[in-house]
Amino acid sequence: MNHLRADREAMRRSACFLLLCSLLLSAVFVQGQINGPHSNGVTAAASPAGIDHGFRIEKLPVAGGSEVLTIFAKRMGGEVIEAQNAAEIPLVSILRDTLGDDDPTNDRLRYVWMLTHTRASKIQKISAFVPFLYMRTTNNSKIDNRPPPAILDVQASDQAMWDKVFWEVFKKLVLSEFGIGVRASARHYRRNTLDYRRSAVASAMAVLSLYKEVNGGEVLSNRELRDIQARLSLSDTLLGWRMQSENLGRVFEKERARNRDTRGNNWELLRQYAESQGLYFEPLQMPDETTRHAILWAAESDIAANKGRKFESRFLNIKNPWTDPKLTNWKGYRQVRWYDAEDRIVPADTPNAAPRTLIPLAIYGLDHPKIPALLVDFRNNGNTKRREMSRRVLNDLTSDVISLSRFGGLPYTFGRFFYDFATQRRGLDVNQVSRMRSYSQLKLLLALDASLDPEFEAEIERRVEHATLNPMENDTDVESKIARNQYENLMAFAKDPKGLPRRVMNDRRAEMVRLKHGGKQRTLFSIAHVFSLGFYTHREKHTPELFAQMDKRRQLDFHERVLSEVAYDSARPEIDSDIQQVRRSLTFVSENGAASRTKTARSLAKIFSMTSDDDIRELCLTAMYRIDNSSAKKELLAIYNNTKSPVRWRELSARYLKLAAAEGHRMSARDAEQVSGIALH
Amino acid sequence: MLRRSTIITFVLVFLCVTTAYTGQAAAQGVKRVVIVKIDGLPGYYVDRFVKERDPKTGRTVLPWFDEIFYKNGSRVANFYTHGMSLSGPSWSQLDTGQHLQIKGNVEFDRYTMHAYDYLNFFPYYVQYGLKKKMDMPAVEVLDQLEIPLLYDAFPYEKRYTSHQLFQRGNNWEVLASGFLNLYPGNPGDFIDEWTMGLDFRKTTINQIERDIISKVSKRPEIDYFDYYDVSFDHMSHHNNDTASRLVVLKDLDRTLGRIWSAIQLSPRADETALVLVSDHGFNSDPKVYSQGFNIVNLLASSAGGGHHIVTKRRLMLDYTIKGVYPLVPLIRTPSENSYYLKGQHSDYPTVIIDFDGNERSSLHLRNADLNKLHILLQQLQRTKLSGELRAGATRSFFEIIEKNRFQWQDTYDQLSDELDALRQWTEAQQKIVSTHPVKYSSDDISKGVDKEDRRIAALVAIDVAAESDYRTYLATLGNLLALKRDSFDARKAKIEDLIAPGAMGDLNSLYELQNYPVGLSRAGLILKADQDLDLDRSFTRVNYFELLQAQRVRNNVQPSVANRPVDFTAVRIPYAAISEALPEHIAANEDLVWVYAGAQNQALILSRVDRAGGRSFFYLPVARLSQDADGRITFRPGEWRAGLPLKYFEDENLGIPPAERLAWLNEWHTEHEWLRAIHKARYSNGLIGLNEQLGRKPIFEAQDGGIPELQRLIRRFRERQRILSETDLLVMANDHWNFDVKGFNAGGNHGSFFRVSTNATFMLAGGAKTNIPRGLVVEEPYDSLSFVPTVLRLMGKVDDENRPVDELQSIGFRKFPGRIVKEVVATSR
Repeated sequence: MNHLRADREAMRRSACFLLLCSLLLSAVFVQGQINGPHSNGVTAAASPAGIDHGFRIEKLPVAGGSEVLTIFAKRMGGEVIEAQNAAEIPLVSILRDTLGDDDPTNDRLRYVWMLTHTRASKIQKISAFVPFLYMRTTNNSKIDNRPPPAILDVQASDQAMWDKVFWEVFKKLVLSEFGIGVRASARHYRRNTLDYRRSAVASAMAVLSLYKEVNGGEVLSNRELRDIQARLSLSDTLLGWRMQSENLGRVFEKERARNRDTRGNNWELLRQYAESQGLYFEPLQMPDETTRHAILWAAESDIAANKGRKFESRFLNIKNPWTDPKLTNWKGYRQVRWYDAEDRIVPADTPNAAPRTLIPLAIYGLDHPKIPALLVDFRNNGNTKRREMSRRVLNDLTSDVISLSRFGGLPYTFGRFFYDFATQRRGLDVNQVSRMRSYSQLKLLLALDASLDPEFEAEIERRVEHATLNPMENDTDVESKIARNQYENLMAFAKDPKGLPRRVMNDRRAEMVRLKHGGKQRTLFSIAHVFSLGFYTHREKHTPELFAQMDKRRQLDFHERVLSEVAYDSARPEIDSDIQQVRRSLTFVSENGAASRTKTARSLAKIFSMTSDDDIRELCLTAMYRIDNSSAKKELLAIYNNTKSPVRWRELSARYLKLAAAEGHRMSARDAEQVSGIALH
Repeated sequence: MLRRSTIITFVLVFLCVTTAYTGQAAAQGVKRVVIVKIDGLPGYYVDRFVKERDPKTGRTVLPWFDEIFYKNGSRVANFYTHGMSLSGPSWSQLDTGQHLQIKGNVEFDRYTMHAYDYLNFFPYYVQYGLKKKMDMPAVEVLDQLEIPLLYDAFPYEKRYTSHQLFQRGNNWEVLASGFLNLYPGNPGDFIDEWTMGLDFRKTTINQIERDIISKVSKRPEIDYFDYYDVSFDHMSHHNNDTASRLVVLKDLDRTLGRIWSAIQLSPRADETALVLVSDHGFNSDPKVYSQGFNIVNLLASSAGGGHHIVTKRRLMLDYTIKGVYPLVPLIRTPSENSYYLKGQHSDYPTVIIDFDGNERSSLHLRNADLNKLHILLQQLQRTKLSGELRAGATRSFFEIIEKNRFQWQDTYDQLSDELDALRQWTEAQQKIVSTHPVKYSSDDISKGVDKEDRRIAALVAIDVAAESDYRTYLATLGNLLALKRDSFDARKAKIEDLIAPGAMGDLNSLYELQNYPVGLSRAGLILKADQDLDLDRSFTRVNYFELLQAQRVRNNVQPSVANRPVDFTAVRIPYAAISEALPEHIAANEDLVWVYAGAQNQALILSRVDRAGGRSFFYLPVARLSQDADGRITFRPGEWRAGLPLKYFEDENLGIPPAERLAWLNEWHTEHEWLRAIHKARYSNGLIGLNEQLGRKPIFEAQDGGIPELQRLIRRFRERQRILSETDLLVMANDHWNFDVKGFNAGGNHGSFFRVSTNATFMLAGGAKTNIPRGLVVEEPYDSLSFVPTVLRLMGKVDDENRPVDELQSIGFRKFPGRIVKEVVATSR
C-alpha cells in the first residue's frame, strides 16, 4: 500500500511539474503570438472584395526523365498583394517519374509535397516535447535551403507501418524504463509530429480536390489526381499502404461519397438548429462552389428582443446569445446586411429592403464527421480550444499520467468504450476526432477567398491561430512565406544534379530490385532495411538493360491494373469498357506478361468468360499462356476442361498448355500431369 | 346479291371470331420474366446519362441501358407514379396493378394505434426467425384485402423473388451466402475491401444478383425472377452531387449487363424478357441541399396545439443512443406546451405523424369531439367549478355525445358484429393451424406448403391481436354511450374508461380541422347568456390549414428554395357534404379533394366514374372554402389564373396551347386526357395522384351471387381497417423542402407530385420470341397501374378487357384498372 501511495505521490508531483512547465511556456508563447505575427499578418486579407481566384499548374522537367508538377493558387486582382509579388501561392508539388518519354503507361507518381508543411524549428520541437502544451508557440520563420519534406510517397510504401511497429517496440522496451516525464514528453512529441503531418495531408487533399473540381484533368490526369487523393486518404490507415492500385478508384469514390454525405448532413443540421434558435446561417463557398464552412450570426435587434430566451446549444456548442452581456455591448466586428420580404440578402438599394446588423457568433467546419465542428467562437476562443483538446487531454492523461492502456483492465476498457460510444453517437463536441482537417480547409478558404470583408477575415485568422493545439504549426501568413521558400528550395533541388535527379535514380534502382530478385530475397533485403533503421537499402546497379526491363515492368503494371479493373467492373468489355485500351493491355500482357501476377491470370479468365469478342478471347488465352505462373495455367486448364466452351477455345487452350509444358512454364504437378494427358487433334 | 340471311350469318361469324380473339388473352412470346426493381430511379436521370458520352471512349456513360433497352428494347419515356411518389404505396401499385390501398410507408390505425410499418426489415427478420411472421407487413395487409401480387401469378416453385418491401417469405440462404461472399477469397483483396469498409448494405442485393445470374441458366423451370435494389434511392437521399449518384447508376448499369448477359446464355433466352421498373423519381439537384422542416416541433409548440406526438421513426435517429435499437417501437414525443395533457404523453398523444418519403407528411389529429369531452371531463372533475359552469359543461358534454351518438352507436354495433365474425374465422383457422404438421416433407417444402401454413398462422395471430385491440376501444366507446345525464357524476368517472388512451377516434371534419380545439381557452369555460357553454369561446382553437401555410423560415440562403416549407395541404371532402354548394353544371359522383395553398389559392378536384368504370376529373378553382359547425360548406368560386395549387395554368409544359387553355381547363376530362395534358408540367400528374391518394377506391369486387355473411362481415371489417388508417391531413412540402425529422436527407427526397419525383422508369427488352419492339420509345404517358397488366399481357395472362385469365382469376386476380402499354404489346402480338 505504501509503495502504491508513493507511486501515486510521485505521479502527482510529476504531473504538477509538467503542468507548471506547460503553463509557463504557454504564458511566454502566448505573449509572443499576440505581439508577433498577428500585427502584420493579415495584410493578405486586405484585398478588395469580389476578387476572382483560380488555380494553375506548373511543370518543371527534372534531369533523368521526371518532372515536378506544382499547383499554384491565386487571388487575382489584389493590388496590395500583387505589389508584394505575393499573388500566387505554390501549394502542392508532385513528382512524376516519366522515364523521360511521352508514354503515360510507364509513368510513376512518387512524392507529394505540401509546400506549407516544413520541418519544425528547434523551439517548435522543444515545445512539441512539453507534455500538455496544447498551443502554438512560435513560427518557423527561418527556412533553410533544404528541400521540403514529402508528405507521401504515392507508390505503395510500408514505411508508415514499420514506423508504427518501431514506435510500439520503442515504447515497450525503451520508454517504459523511464519515468513519467520522459514517457509523456516522447509520446507528446510523436503525437504532435504525426498530427502536423496529418494536418498537411488534409491540406493537400483539400487543394487537390479543389484543383480537380476547378481545373479537371489538365496536366495531371483525372486518374492521377484520384490516385493521389486515394493514397492520401489511406495514409493514416493501418493497411492502407498496401492497397492495390486497381482499387484506388473505388477508394476515391467511397471517400468522396462519404465526404459529400457528411457535408450535406452538417449543412442541414446547422441550418436547422440555427433556424430553431433564431440565428442567421451563412454558408461559405470554396472556389469549387462547395460549402465546407458556415458562419452563424445573431441580429442585433434579436439580441434585444430575445433577451433571456431559452437557448438549445446542442450541436451549436456556443453560449446562449440571448443572455450574454458581451453581445449587448458588442465591441467586435459587425456587419449590416439588407434583406427583402422573403429574407433573402439583397443589395442595399433594393426597394423595400430592410437592414439588419449582424454579429458573428461562430464558424463551423462542415466536413467534420458526424457534427459541424466549431472552429471559431467569436466570443470565447477557449471554447473551441477546450473542445479540440478534450480527446487529447483524455488520452494523454490516461496513457501518460495514469499509464492506463486501452485494454488495461475491464472497468476501464468498458468505461472508455461506453464513454467513446456515447459521445460519438450523440454527437457531443467533446472527445471527437480532431478538427484539423476543417481547420486546414478554413485556412485554405481564407487564403483563396477574397469575398470576405478584410477586417472580418483578419479576425477569423487570428482566432484560428489561437485554436491550434500543435506547437509545430505555423501562422497562415507565415505558411505562405514558407510555401514560397520551400517551392524555391524544391526547384533548386530539382535542378541540382545531386538533388532530385539523384533521388529519382536511387528510387529507380530500388525499384529494379524486384526485376532481379525473387520474393524471398526481397524479404531479406526488407528485413535488413528495417533492422538497419533505414541506413541500408538494397539497390541495383543502374544499367540500360535493367532500365529497359523496368520500363517494361511499369508498363506491365499499368496494363495489369487495367485488366483487373475491367474484370472487377465489367459485364462484357466490348459493351461497357474502353475496348481499345483492353485490347492494348491484353496485347501487351500476351507479349510481355510472363511476370504478371496471379490476380492478372484470374482477371484474364474472367474477361474470357465475359466477352463474346473472339479477338479478345484469343488474346486472353495467349496472355494466360504467356504468364509464367501456375495460376494462369490452372485457368487455362479450366477453360480446356469446360465442356460447354466452344471447341475452338478448348483446342487453343490445349495447344497453349502443351506449349507451356514444353517450355517448362510453372504449373502445379497435378495440372502438369493432366496437361501431359491432353491429346492434340 | 347475297341473301340477307347469309349476310347476317357472315356478320355473326365475324363478330364471334373477333370477340373470341379479343376476349381471350392473346398468345404472347414472353414465357419468362426477369424484373429489375430499382427504388427511386427517375426515368429522366437515366435518359440524361445514356445520352451523355464518355469523352475518353466516345461511348455512352451507361452502356448497358443503351444496349439493352435503347437499342434492343422498348422504354416508356413518360412513366409515372400513379399517386404519391412514395415507396410503400408506389410499389403496392407496381406489384399488384390495383388502386392504392396502402397509402404511406407507415400507417396507423386510429382506434388502436397499431402501426403498419411497411419499410422496416429488421423487425420482420426477427419475427420471421422466431416463426411469428411469414411475410413483410405490406404483403400481410394485401393478403387481408385479397389482393394478389404479380409474383403470385407464378407457382412457388417457379419463381425466385428477392428481398423487397412486398416480400413473401424469407430466404436465409441469401443472407448467409451474401455474408460469405462479402469476403473475397484472395487475402490481398480481402485486406483491401476491409480497409475500404465492407459493404454490408449490399450483402443481400449482391447475392441476389449472383443467384439470378446462376439460376437463369441452371433452373430453367423458373418463370419469374425479381431483383430489388435500393442503392440509388439511398445514395440520392444522402448525396446530391452528380458524381456520387452516377457511381451507383453505373453499378446498376453493370448489374443489368450481367443479368442480360446471363439471360443471353440461358436456354430460354428467346422467350425471356428483362424488365426494368422503378417506383418513383427523385428531387435532387447538385446545386441545392434539400431543407428539412420539423413538423413535429411545430405541432408540439403552443402555436401548433401543444400536442404529444407519436411517430414510427425516432427523431434525430443517428444522434441518439436509443437509435441503435432496431425494432423501433412507437416513438412518443412529449410537448412541454400541452394545454391540457401535460405529462400524459404515454396515454394521450393527440397527433400521429407519418413523415416518411419526406416531401409530404400525413397527420392524424385526435377527433376534436374527443378532445372537447376530455377537456370538459377534466373541468367537471375540478371541485372548484361553479354550479352554473358545471351545469353548462355537463350539458355540453352530453350534447357532444348526442351529436355523435348515431355514428358512434353504428360503429359500436357494426364493429362488434365484424369482430364476432372475425373471431369465428380465427377460431376456425386456429383449428386448422393446430393440424399443421411439425415437419414437412421435402416435396412440400419445395412447393412452399410449409410456408403457406405458416402464413395462415401468422395472419390468424394478427387478427387475434387486432380483435383484442378493437374490443378495448369499443369498451370505452360503449362506456361513453352508456352514460346517463341524470346519474352522471364526473368526479367519480375515470377518464381512461371513457376516452380511450392512445386512440385518435374518427376522422375530423373540415370544420374541425379549421377550428381544432387544442385546449381550454385562456379565460376558461365561458357561458353564454342562456347559461349554455359557449363552445366557440371556451376552447383554444387552431386552423391547421392556415397554420401550416403560414410557416416561414428566416434563413433563406439557397436561391432556388423558397422560405415557405409547406406548398399546400389537401383533404378529402365527402361528396355528400359539399354537393349542395357545388355549381349545378358540375355533377360529380365521388368524394372531392380540397387543396389549400392559402385563403385565395384553393382548388376542388372533383371526380366522377362513368358506367364503364372510367374516371373523369374537374379542377375547380375556389377561394375561402370553409365548413361551419353544422357541416355546411361554403366557398367563393374562382377563375383560372396563375398561383393556384399545382400551378397548371401558368405552366409552359402544360400540353394545352395557351389560347385553348382556359376553355380546356374549365371542362371535365377523362383521366387519360388529363394525364396527356399535365404529365410534363412541373406538378405532373398531381391532380390524378391527389385523387388516388385521398379518394377511396373499392377494395373488393362486387360478386354477382353474393358472398357468405361471415365473409361479408370480414370484408367490411377490412374496409373499415383501411378507412381507419386514413389520415386527416396531407401536407405537401415546397420544392426542395422535406419533413424528415429522423435525420437530414440533404441529398434529395421524394414523396411529392413534382415531375422530378413522380417520373419513374419502365423499360423492357427480350429475346426474339418475345417480340418486344427494339429501339422503341413510347412517348405516350403511362403510370404505375400499367405495369402489371402489361407484363401479364406480354405473357398472355390478361385479355383485351384487362381481365386476368381464368387460371389467375381462380387465385384472386381481378380486372386491372390501368392501361396496357399497347405500343409494346401490339407488336408482340
